[in-house]
Amino acid sequence: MIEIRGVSKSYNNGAIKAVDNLSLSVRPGEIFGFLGPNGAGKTTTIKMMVGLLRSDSGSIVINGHDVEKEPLKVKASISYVPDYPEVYEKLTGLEYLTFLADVYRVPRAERMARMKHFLELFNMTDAVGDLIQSYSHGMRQKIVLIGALLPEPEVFILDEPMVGLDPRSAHNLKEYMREHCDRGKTVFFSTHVLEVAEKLCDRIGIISHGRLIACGTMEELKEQAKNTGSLEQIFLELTEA
Amino acid sequence: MRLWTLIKQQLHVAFNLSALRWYARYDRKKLAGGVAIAVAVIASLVPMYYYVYLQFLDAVFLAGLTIGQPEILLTLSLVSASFIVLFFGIAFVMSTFYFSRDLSLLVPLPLTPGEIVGAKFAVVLVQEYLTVLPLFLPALIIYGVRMGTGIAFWPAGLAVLLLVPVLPLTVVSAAILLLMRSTNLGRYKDFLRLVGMVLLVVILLGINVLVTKLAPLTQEDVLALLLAEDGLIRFIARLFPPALLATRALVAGGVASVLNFLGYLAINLAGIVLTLFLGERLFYRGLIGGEEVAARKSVSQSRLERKMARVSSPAAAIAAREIKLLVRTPIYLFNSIGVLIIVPVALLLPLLMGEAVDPLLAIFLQPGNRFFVNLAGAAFIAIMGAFTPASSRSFSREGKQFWLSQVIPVPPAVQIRGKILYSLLLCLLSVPLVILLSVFFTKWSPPELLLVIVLGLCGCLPAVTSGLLIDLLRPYLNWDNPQRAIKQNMNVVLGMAVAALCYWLLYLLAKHLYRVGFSEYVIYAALAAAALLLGYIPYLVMLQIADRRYRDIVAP
Repeated sequence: MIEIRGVSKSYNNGAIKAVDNLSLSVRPGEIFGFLGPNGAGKTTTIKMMVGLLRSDSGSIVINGHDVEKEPLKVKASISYVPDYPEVYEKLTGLEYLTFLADVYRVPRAERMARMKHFLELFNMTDAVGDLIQSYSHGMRQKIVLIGALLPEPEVFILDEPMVGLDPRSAHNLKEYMREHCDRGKTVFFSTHVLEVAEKLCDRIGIISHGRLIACGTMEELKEQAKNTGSLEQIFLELTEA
Repeated sequence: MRLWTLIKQQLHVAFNLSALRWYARYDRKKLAGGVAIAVAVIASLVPMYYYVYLQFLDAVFLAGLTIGQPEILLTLSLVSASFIVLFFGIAFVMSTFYFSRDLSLLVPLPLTPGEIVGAKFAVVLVQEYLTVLPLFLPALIIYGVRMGTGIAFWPAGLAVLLLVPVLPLTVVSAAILLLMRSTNLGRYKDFLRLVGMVLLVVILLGINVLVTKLAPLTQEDVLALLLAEDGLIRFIARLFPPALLATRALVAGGVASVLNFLGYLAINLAGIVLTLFLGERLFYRGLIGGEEVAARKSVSQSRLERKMARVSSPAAAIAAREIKLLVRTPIYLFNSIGVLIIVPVALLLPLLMGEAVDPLLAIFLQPGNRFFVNLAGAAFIAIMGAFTPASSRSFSREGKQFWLSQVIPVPPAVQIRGKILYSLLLCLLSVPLVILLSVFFTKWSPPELLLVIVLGLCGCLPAVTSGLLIDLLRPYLNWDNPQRAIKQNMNVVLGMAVAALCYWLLYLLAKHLYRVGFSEYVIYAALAAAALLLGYIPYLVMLQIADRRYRDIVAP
């Protein structure tokens, strides 16, 4: 589970507040969708969760471990998929996956079974022997996804995971996210695809100008926005200012 | 006009001008920090620069003055600067022309290939001024001030200074354009290009040696060189003939100066025209398809399973990743092991082609000098280690992929050990050279050879760990072509300076122990212990700061 308490992050010596006193919690077994306009603070929040950025204040606790105080324990229990799949182009897909399996210490039997399963699920078996340099954007996204799924993380954190995926892969990813949470694990992801968030997420948080302006189930969001329409209508209304 | 706009844009990107302006406006503290580091790096090099290079130039001037040819200072520095641009430009030109990330934006624009090549050439040229300036400017000043030259010398000097890197860069650019065009061949192109770059270096060195050996000098020739008005200058300029025109443009005076300058200018312009012409014809044919790799290789199920089943420790996995990325990126490989090829070739060619060094070698290899020969062998391995600076760019090389190192659940200390392991493995590459040296020249016995290798590898450690520490403290991650992670990375220079300081301390220690009269084995042991200690200190510092640095570094 994820506990974010009063987290703030600013740039330019405080001139730009990217995240402003953000608090939210995500429970085990929950898919949490994180929405917001461009530049609202989604990626900054996610980067602070995975240890790529330090917060100015507040705390982030994942699976009972504080990101600042016990970063390795946090990293061992999460997997992260960034918004842009910037990976080692001069490694083959398979070398990249074995590298991640090694550093996450995935035992031999499990790594073999999972690699085979996910490579087939995302239709990457034939391409896995090629250099990542030759992959399309979508294939890179898929190899990063597979790499992140190999350790079977307790908490799966994804930044815009659907971008670049073909419809079948996007569908498979959504199915996997659901199964993952059904096993009591947690998924936290940001997206601009509101239909996906509406259908898939147990709860949704909307961030604007670094502040969480709404959070809850679809029903709760409708109540908060006093709008019984779609998530799109609620989103547009809440983020209008 | 379009070319000029493109050049301006490229220079903006290459020198981060927009970012600097932004920092100057919004984050002066960060800008001041960056400037302070740059000043510190330059200041750290000043003593070496002064005592080694400037003193050498002064000595050359005085020697030249004694024989009535002080201009030899100008010719010598012109030739050296041109050669440095020539050799170090190979990887730089290839990377800037062909591996810049912005090419995917530039190629679809309505620009001609010649315009893109022209703009990229301008970027390399401006950056090469940073190399030429400290090499040639002191020579101009020493000559101008000491000779009390007229006012016309200074503008002429500036004009020559601006032209110095042009011709060598056009030679390299033409060679790279031809190389990339002829090696754009499927899956082996990276390997072919590496071989091509190495061959280019060997050919350039070979031509150099051939030219100097074409007419062996007799005693009368030497006398004639010394007595002739500009005999020695003509002799030195044989290595790079345009240097003669440039020297005469500076010193001949009157119409002769103007004519020589026009000749020098014409050669440089011809080089530019040739580069643009070849660029127009060949650039796209070497570039397009550069990102493609071989047709998909189907991996058999059994092979796939075998590969999947390989399990390594995290440190070994990190070392293996570093090695694979190095081996598969020609620019990194050339920069890392190029010196291991260039140095032996540079040493061997004169040895094979002339007899002048034989007496020197014979004195050096006398039985009474074994101790010094052993130390020289170890020093060779250690210095080669410092010249293959894999460690001082180890973090920088990760660039935008550094996020992966930050999110994986591997303690930074373990990752650092993986990088040390990888850097030491690269240092091992000089061992075969030492073995060859032993077979052909020094004839070390097996125990001596082992001693030389172990002592040499101990000597590599300070260069490795101090380089790694420097790069951990200030990694240069936001680069747009791989060469920039190396060429524009002051860490590499700073790493070499720190390594030089360590080696100087080791030299002082050896000298002191030798004078006091310790046995050679005590001196070997003391040197090994001192080198390990010098290597261990940066390692300890890294362990202290690694966790914090891995958290604080913001990957672009």
